[in-house]
Amino acid sequence: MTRRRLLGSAVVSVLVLGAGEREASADGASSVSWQTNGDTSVYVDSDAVSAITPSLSAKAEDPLAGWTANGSYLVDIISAASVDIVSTASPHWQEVRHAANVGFKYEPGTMGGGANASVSSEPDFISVTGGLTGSFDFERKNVTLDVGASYGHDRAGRSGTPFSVYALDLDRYSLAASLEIVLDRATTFTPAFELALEFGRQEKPYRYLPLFSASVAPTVPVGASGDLVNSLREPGRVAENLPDNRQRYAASGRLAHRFSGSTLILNDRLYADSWGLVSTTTDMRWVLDVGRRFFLWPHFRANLQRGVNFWQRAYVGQTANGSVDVPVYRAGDRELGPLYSIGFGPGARFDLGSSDPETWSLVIQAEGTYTRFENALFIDHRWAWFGGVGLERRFE
Amino acid sequence: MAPSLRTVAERPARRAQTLRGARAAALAILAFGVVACGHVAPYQRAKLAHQTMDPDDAHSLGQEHMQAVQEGAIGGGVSATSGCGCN
Repeated sequence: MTRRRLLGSAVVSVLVLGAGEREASADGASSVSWQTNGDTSVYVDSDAVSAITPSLSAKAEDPLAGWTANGSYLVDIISAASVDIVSTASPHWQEVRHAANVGFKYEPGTMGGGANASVSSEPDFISVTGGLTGSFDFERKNVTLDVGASYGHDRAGRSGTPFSVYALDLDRYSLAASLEIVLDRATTFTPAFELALEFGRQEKPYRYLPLFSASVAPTVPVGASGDLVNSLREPGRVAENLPDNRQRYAASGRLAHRFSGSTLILNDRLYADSWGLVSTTTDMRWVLDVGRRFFLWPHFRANLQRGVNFWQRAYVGQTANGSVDVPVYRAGDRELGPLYSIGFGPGARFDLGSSDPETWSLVIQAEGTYTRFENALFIDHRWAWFGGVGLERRFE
Repeated sequence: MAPSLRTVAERPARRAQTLRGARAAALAILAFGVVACGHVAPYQRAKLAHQTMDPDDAHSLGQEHMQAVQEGAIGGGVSATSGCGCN
């Protein structure tokens, strides 16, 4: 599918949102409220990767009956000529990813349950996930416990090769719990925990790593260019190999406070996994009421992480008796190495059209992110730019 | 290398200890929630019901995906949506 057709479909999706409004308005007696979104975002970075992502989402809710249903669909058109691709003399590639999810929740009283499912598909990758959730209100809805369990299966292959011939399978199980606490008339605090267990192959089928002799490896500088790596490395490359199981633990806290003319939302996450990756992520959004129908916010996000315990900038390959000894586990994914990133950008929401309950909203966001790779080959930093425009419709 | 007898014997005990710790932590957090909550009545929740307090507000699927790709960590997202008592 070409970019022009996808952009066209994003425009059509906005028209569909408008058509939905007229049908729903005819049924004035319904207590069901609707929210539909059409969104298109663009991503470009200094490593020659770009993506355009049109998406559609919808949510229907009946507060009196206690049910909520939601669904979303997005398309990622990714174009890449990153240094990893260039350094292995591979051609520039383009790929289209489709992702969709649906969910349903029913909470007639102080307890409820729900189910959700999602699927993501690329020419050489497919992922399917399903989950169940439960919700329990305490203290007259001043405390809400949400729990969830999910199972997912990923299958990665090589483009043009059937999965029956070559496939790397991964099973994912996760347990999550969060507790939303109403602290006062304007503040909520939500601690959340998640445990994810992964069993299977996580290597990228196309990722091959350069090897160096023991004497050269320590001298390869951070961010060494492709030409320098090629001049220093041993002949041949070795495929990435990662452990076949991984346990991930995440704990986070969300604090939301409504002031008289603004809302502050703070998120912090601590993360650790059995591969040795430890990270902290802080996310802050301060939404200012510029007018009754106009909101403006700065958004800030920072991520600091220690790499996995088998991470090495330059892996050593020792030749002995005609074979090459290499470390059992080896990774070339920079996101598994030590890094920090800082992102900042503005966002705005304009509420348009008639007043509640029928409202159109235009949401615009932009963000720049600087990432520093502290112990990686080929590049030592990346600038990434993100922009998004969304049209949202709320009606009854 | 085969695990030592000492390591094998310690493993179930350590697992049980971890489970006990996790249960105690969960109970402590639930108790904290009940004690810390402000017992706000439904008619006092106008600020809590403001659209900007919604975890989904200003949420972009594209942005979420970009963050997931750029960071090694996943999970810990907030799923609670009804605790503000808006429904």
